[in-house]
Amino acid sequence: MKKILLNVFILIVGGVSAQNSPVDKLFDKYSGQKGYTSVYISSYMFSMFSEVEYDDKEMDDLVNNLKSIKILAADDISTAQFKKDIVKKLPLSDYKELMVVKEEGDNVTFLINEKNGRIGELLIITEGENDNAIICIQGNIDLKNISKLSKSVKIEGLEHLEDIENKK
Amino acid sequence: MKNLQEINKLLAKFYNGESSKDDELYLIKFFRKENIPDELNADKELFLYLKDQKYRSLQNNDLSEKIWQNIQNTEKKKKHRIRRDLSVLSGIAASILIFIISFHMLHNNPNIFNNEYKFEDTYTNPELAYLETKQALLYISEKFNKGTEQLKPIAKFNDGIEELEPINQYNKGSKYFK
Repeated sequence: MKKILLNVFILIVGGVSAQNSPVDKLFDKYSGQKGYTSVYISSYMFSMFSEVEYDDKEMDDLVNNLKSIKILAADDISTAQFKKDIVKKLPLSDYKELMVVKEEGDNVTFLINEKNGRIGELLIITEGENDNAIICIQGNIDLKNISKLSKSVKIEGLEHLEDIENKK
Repeated sequence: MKNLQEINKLLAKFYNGESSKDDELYLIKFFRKENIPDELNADKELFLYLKDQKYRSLQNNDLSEKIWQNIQNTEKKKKHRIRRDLSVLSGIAASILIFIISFHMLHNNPNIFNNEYKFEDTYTNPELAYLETKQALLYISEKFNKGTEQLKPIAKFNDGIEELEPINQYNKGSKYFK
């Protein structure tokens, strides 16, 4: 009887601890270390966003389904060192590669962790001359909402660009 | 071994009803032996007869003691069993309690065993956190759209193929003219 209870207990504890993302380990190791800047925003903080009145529907839709955002950016570290410290230690085989965007000397890799058709983790690795960083977003991620976000951003004066197009 | 004189003394005590239990047992043991002097033959027969009776009564004494012992043992066993049952029950109760508490704790705070990876919010000001979140998400969104924009020509190619669908219908019809 005791053995059965103990086994069930171990299973629950094991199951819960298995929820840890491999990124968490790296984030824990390098946050606060010289040359690295880390940012962690929790679901609790997301819930506080309702106090900040920006009236951005796309942003609200996206954030409401998120658990956390972790950013680990290398400041004074070379790309080679960043690769050695972070990228090579990531279990990339656990993720599906969505796409790689190459732009102005930067490589941005989109990786997703998908379970039962839902994206539970989005990992973005930026490597290049300008930036070296990883961004890890956990929660129920909808790529459509991510795409909508930058399309909805209104920059003052930008609407006049459309007029120019029309006048052509 | 006591000498014959002492045996006679014990016999005299016995017949006077003054002998102790030990004296009687000693006499019984003595008469069980074969080399008994002839003068004591009559006593021997009496004691051999008494031996059975005595043993029986002695055994009866033992029996009552045994019964008493058994009763005590049973009582002890009962107490022991109750104590054992109680300890088993309290063990099970404790296990269930631990199980319920840990389940409750895990349910409310899944990261309780992940102290190693328990991170603190970088910002305490929601406004700053909001701006940081938005900046990160915009960066991702922008890069994501740049990647997917490259797929637009393929989508246009699909549109073109759809335009060709009527020609396909024409092909289906043309086979009847053969």
